[in-house]
Amino acid sequence: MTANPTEDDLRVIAEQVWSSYLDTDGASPLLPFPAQQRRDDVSASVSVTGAWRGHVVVSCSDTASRNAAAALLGIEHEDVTDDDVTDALGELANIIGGNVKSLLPEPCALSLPHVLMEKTAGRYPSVTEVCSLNGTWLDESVTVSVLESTADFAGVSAP
Amino acid sequence: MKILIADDSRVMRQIVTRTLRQAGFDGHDLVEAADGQEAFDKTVSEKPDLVLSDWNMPHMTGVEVLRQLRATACRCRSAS
Repeated sequence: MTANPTEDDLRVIAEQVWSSYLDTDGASPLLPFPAQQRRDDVSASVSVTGAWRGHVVVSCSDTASRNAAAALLGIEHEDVTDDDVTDALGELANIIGGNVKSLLPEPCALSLPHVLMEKTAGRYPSVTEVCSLNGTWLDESVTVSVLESTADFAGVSAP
Repeated sequence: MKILIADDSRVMRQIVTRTLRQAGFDGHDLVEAADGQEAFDKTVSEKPDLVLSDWNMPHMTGVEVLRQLRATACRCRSAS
């Protein structure tokens, strides 16, 4: 039985993702401590089904989401559109979710990403938080959470 | 070499482009397609040497693109 992912796992995954895509020159890493003010203006998630069921959620401030889109697309911050933010955060959740999935028992499948830009964190019924990483990127809040489903296949909470 | 990158995510096309450059493929001719239909059309018109395609795309999935190409007698080999 594979153990659940830990905050240390999320930190290693985040470091790899940031150094590969968001901080390629090493000047603006994701710092592994909470920002002064946590904000969940934008949240992107992928769901995992199979031997393990739950969600991997990336949420951040509006500014951080636009910084991510600008970095991933190689464009200026002021040129970022809402579609760019949706695309960028969805792919970020997809990449991080794929890395988390590699730590989970097999077989598991990853859903397509779902992005909410309504300045409210997504709501996930019948889950328990397995681990989370509250980070700071360019002074802005970025959080990665792994939520395990506590409901069985009929949608009834497991004992 | 001409390489076609097919993905409905502009961000992912950019990531693939950047990864190819970092892997030493920066001297090659890169062409992009934003959905399955465009991937099929550009594979026929541009005749790339290599297609890197997403699976889930609007209009046609990557697998459907491959089937269509084979149905039109396109000489192609696939790897997943």
